[in-house]
Amino acid sequence: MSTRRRSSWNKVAAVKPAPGRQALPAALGVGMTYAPRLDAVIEAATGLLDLLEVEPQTLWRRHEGDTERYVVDSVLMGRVAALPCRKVLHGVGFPVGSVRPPSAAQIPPLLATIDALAPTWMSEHLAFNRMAEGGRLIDTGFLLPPRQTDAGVAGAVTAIRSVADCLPIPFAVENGISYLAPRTDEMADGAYVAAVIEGADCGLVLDLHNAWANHRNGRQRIEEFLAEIPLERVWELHFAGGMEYRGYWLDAHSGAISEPVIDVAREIIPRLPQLKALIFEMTPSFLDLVDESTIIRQLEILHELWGLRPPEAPRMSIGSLRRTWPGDAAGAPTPPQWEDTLGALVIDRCTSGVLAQEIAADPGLQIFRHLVAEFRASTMIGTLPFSGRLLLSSLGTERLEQMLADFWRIAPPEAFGSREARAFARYLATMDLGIPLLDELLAYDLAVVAALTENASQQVRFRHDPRLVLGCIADHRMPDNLPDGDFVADITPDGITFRPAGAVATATSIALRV
Amino acid sequence: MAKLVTVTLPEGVGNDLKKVLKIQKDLLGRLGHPACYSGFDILFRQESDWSVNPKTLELEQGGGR
Repeated sequence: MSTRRRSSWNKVAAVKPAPGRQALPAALGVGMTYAPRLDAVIEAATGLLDLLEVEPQTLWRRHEGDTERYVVDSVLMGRVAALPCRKVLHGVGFPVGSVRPPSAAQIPPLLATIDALAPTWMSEHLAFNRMAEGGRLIDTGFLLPPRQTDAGVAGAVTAIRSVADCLPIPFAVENGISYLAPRTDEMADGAYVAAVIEGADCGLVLDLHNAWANHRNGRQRIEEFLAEIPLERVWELHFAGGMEYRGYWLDAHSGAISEPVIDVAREIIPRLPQLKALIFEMTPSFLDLVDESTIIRQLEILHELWGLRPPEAPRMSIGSLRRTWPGDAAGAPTPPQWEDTLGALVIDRCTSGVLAQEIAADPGLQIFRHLVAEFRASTMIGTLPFSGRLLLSSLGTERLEQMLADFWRIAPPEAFGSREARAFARYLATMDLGIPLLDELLAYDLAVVAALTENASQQVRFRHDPRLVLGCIADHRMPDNLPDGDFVADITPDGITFRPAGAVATATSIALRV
Repeated sequence: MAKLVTVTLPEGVGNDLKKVLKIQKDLLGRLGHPACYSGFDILFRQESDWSVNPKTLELEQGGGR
């Protein structure tokens, strides 16, 4: 049974955008990326955090219907707004490196987010994450490197302005990472970044770990990259840790900042006259492997580096270069061809041709494929936590991986976790796995997803005490020999109560939005 | 009207429910767009490090790859 309340999640008012370029504020200082899982760390690091970088789309919910629509989770947003430090926004869902401008559906929730958090500026990735297939755009499940040609620059400039001109705050882009080998028919990474940000007249979030990983993986040397980009446009530096995988250095955001990145920062920071912020990034799922003191130490390192800034220079009026782009050489892959081919290869869709053969021969492609697979599998286990754990323990890792791979071949990635969860649940419903408890745990997981994304209240019936079933799974124990019964979990947007069927009182409840 | 029933919490369930609560809290950060979209998400790999001991039917850490 499902009931729906009138949504109160999108009450934050939209602000009217002020077109044109906005002046940069004074320096902000040292911060880190925000995620709900990092709440405790952020609280422990209060004295070291001048600002938080908020990834707005992580606080949005994708409407379940066919129409592309996003709503702001105003409860979560309110919690972030209450954190006592300045904020900047860093987009993760609508990159601006594509010749296909990002969806305009993001603008209303983006303006609502800006209204709620009063961020100082916003940035997005110089990458793409959609490809065309059968007349529609589908997600690639990962940020992918754009085509670094004149036509690619022109497309990115248009994409950037399509977003930046709608916002009342300054806009910057972040240099990306590519695990592919450099191509002879493309400009170097630094020249590409320079052409885009000068053409779009925007700021640069210089991700030093991306630049260093590209260098380490055989792309442009970081010294050359830094010599090519306009340093006076750098507003923010990103720092992160990485790890080695199959001979590649992954931009894993896995914990302590890689030492060479700190060395590069010491060299470059004194040459950044408009530097306003240093941000430490960490993927939340690494929190179980990185202790709090390590994170605190990274922030202390950033404070030491912050002291190396040059005296702040007055902002130069740079302005757009107003270049014209002559387009690519005749016969060379166009940016749409590049995006559709690379995207198809990364998510195992059908594609062919010379470009596909060239990219498929690049061992870096397998790195992208691996990272996308890990993202999708983690999204499944993170959004269907109890049924996912039961599947994993019942089928084993290899068999579940094979099932996921079969599912992915017919279902492209869904960028928002709730939709990925529901798509996999629909796939599971077509199979007869014969796993005890799976049906009720899947119903329970989906009901919680619905409560948190659609404001829907539901009841889920259990044949055993759900406190025992869920408790065993949460404790990594297989539920076994449980007495039969008839139980109900009442799931609302506020919390879950467990009771025997027919009872109205309960001794056990848990809050959902703690 | 349904009858009021007192529910007794089985021994040990309190601690387990704290773990349930943590899982539900982590879910909040998963329903929107993934964070660090160009990074490396290891949640599945962490979970697959638990495997079933066929003799005890219990999950043990370190069994996955």
